[in-house]
Amino acid sequence: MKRKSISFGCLLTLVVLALGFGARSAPTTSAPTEAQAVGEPAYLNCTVRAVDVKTRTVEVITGVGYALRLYRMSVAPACEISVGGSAAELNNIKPGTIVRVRYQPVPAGPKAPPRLMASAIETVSFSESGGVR
Amino acid sequence: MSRAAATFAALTLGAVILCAGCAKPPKPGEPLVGLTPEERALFDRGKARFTTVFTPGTGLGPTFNSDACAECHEDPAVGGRGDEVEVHVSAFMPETGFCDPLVDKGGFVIEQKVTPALHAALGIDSEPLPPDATVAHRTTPDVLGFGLLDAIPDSVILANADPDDRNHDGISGRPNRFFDGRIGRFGRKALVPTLAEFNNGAYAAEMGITSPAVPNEETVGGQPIPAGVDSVPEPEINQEGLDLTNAFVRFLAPPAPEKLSKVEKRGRQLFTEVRCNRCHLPALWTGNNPVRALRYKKVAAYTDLLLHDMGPELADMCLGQASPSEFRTEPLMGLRFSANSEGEGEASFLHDGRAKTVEEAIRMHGGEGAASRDKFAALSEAERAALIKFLESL
Repeated sequence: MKRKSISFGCLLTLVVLALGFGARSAPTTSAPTEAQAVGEPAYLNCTVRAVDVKTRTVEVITGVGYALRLYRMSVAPACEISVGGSAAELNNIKPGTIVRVRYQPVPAGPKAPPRLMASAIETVSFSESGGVR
Repeated sequence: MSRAAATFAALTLGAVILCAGCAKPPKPGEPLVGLTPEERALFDRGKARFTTVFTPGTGLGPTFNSDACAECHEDPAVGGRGDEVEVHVSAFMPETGFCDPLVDKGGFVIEQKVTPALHAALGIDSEPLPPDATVAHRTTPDVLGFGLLDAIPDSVILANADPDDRNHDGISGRPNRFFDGRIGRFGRKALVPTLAEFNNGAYAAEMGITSPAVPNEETVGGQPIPAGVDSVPEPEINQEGLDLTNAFVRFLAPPAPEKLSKVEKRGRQLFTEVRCNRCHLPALWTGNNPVRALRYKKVAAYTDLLLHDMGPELADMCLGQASPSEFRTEPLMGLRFSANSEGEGEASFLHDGRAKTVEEAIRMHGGEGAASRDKFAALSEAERAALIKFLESL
């Protein structure tokens, strides 16, 4: 009986993990656009260029073919950061790391364009992204 | 039916079947065999886009390398190679292994031309080179058969990778990855994952043409474009224009295989014997594809689409995960166009055109290519000539 409930628990865990993985790999990533509404969250897969722990900002790079773009993002105080699946601090994110960022534009003042705020940063494992084209 | 009539019918049928089997292979710049009428129509309309010449009034620039796709990809036909040499930059951080494409300083493509309006505003004739950047030059390859390269599954590329040289053959290919983590295959450093992205990015990076895929203009050395210099509203080309351009490039036929002479056949044998084929894989296979003409096709590209360390002599810039000395195995299909160039400029080989002959290019191989280079050097003069003859037939 106990063995059966363990098996069921394992199965349930596997299902939850599978669903979780599907949900993680499913969101399409999109670079910031002027049309993106303030507060509207989006995901971006990109490479970290620089991390400034003092000002809590990151610079990330992505693009289309040879047309690359650099984005500067503020890192929210409550930003969820994970490296290799484990919780981490901002200073654990190194230049050259490929990450998935959840971000949203936030107001930056009456005349300034909205700035980008990262609310989650996680490193991307290659096995996860290997087959995605 | 009389016996004569039956014989005539049988002969006619036989002739029809024979003719179908002997259809002339496509010439350079012609479409793949087996396209549907609709795909063929897209190819023809796409060719018109590929050859469209842009002006500042239609969105060109303000920084650019060329005013039309076909201005560079032109020899021996539209979609072929060109004599233009680009300037790319990056900065490699050896302590971390990070490669900075210097986007904040205008990298990594440094456009060599500017519009009159930008010249008037800033007094420059090309995008400025970032200080302390590693500068690399890149020749213009042909794009014939690139739709087939695009149709090769990632799994095929990964299957040939051996990053830790576990088979101890001295060759350790590994894939490059784009900045978002996807496996790359296009470009001399195998940075770009798909042909469509390569084309869409080229509109922006090579011609300064914005599109739904790349809606913002390039910077000028990392600085915004001065006000009033480019008054054409974004996007400067619409999605249909991108789709048609992509259809043309995707449906371009690869160079048709030539009938090999006895000497060339011997050269093909030597190509294997000196182990050039370890990186320049003679064939890859496409996977399932919505386009029948691209589905499950053998591609005689002579590449593994992987990065290989080519040694310090050839090293220049880094890009993505590729270190300065790592380059994608250059596809050898279409090498005959460089070797027998009748267009502008002299023949040139390797990523930056430093080799003036095929033999020179082979002798410049270092790193993982050094063993094959040495085996080539040890061949007799006649054998070397045969191998080169074979390469020049591709």
